[in-house]
Amino acid sequence: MKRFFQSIRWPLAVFVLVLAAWQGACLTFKIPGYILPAPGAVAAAVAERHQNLLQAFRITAVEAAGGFLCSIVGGISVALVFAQSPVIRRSLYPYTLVLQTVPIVAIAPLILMWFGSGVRSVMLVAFIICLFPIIANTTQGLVSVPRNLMDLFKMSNASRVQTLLRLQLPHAVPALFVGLRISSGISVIGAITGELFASSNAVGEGGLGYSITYANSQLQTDYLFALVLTASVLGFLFFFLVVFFEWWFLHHWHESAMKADAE
Amino acid sequence: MNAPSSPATLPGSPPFIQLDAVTKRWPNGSVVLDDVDLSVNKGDFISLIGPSGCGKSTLLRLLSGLSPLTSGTITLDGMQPDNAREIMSFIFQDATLLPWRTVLGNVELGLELEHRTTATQRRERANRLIDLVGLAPVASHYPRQLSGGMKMRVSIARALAIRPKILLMDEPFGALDEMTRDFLNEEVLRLRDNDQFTTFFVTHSVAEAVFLSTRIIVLQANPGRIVRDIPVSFPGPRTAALRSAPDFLAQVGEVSAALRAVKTRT
Ligand SMILES: Nc1ncnc2c1ncn2[C@@H]1O[C@H](COP(=O)(O)OP(=O)(O)OP(=O)(O)O)[C@@H](O)[C@H]1O
Ligand SMILES: [Mg+2]
Repeated sequence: MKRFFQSIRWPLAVFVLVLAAWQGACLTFKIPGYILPAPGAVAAAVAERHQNLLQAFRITAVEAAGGFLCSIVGGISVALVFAQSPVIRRSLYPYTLVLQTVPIVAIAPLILMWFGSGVRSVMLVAFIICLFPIIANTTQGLVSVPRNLMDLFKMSNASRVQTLLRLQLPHAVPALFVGLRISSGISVIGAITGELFASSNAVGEGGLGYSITYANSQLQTDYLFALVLTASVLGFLFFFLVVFFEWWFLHHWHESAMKADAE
Repeated sequence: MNAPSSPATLPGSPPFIQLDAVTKRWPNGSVVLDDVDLSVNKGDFISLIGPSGCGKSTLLRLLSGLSPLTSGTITLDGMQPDNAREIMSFIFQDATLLPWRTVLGNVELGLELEHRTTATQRRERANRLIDLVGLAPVASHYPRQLSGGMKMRVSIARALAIRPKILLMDEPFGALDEMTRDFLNEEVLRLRDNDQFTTFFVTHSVAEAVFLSTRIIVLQANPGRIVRDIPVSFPGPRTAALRSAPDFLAQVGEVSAALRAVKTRT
């Protein structure tokens, strides 16, 4: 615990310093609250509207998590297919790149048009944006098993399924987690982007993205800041959840389980 | 040419392992092994020695069926290499352990893939082999927690767990320090007393080859051919003390000279 506080000592100092400067600037230059609310005002907004924030947080969390979980299942499945042969990889991989290169804000209106508004459409946006990092990293992990290990399995007359389940898949786990770390953060971005276009408008069903547009249109900038803060807390939460599972799965055997680049 | 040093097979019966006019050419046209003939008796310990690139690893891969022949035939206990995998184990230069499995899990791997044993039988057999190579205290450790020599011992235990009749080893101790290597050499001899497997052993160390082998095959490069076939036998048991015996040193001298002759010729 002491080590933990020592490690966050400097970031914490920076945080306090920035807050103080910010508050000072708002007071001395008399900046209007709708342009830049003082940290105090943001804190007050958080305290005052924590019910709304919690509600929006919950909704966006479900949407992002839904999209993220689907993309894990979908991404691993696609990677398993890709791992079957170089021909499959070569012919299909370029098309998965489309997922990465098409701007999500261009797809979101289409999704709204095709699937209507609501939680499922928002999840779909998060799903699409999460998919590529998982496919790319998992495929890489599945096909980069050292030759000697493949030969070892061949010498044991291992079947294709045995090789996949007992060699390629475990070998790909560290790479999979690299993909998951990337996707965990962008799943929240995806859900918020999705909400901007396809959120349900019913009362009490708007998540963080929906509330951000609302706060913006009402010039409730202190609330807007509170929402942005909540969104980043959500992103952090997802990321640390992934890091925790990564540690859980890999700390026994993987040298660099806790390093940013697990190969 | 053949100098059997273990009990000879019955007259008229085919040798345990037979290579006939074995040739391997790579797709780019270069010939690694050219017209290699060799017959090996059951229980022989054959060391393959020769300059780098002469095709020692390639020969092991042909024997194991991991790589196809260009022409010629290989017969292992009456079978083609592809069908003989069940009676063969391959030990690679790096220990090739699965990092996500414990020592025990790694030793069980071969048995598990074969599906011919129950989980309890597997566990029992694996534990016995782990005992045999002296790794019982670290049975539940992961490979990253082991030294290079320990990893190699796991690899040996895994290979022996399936009770192979033929053991292929490609420079298994090449990356280890001399002390560990000597120690493991003695261990291999001890394991061989238990289980009479027939071994092909690739090495660059003449002393190691002499210490372990019943026969040393010297290869030349470009194209790879057998140039010398040297039987090795000592009157007494092979123990650490053998390494300083005059007999042993004379053998090392002879093999070294043969190897030098090959290197200067090519
Ligand atoms: N897949 C391949 N395609 C083409 N040439 C190859 C291939 N693999 C090996 N060779 C060549 O075949 C020759 C023999 O290689 P091999 O690995 O059997 O040698 P080696 O005797 O084991 O050498 P070392 O002692 O260095 O391990 C080398 O010249 C090598 O370059
Ligand atoms: Mg080699």
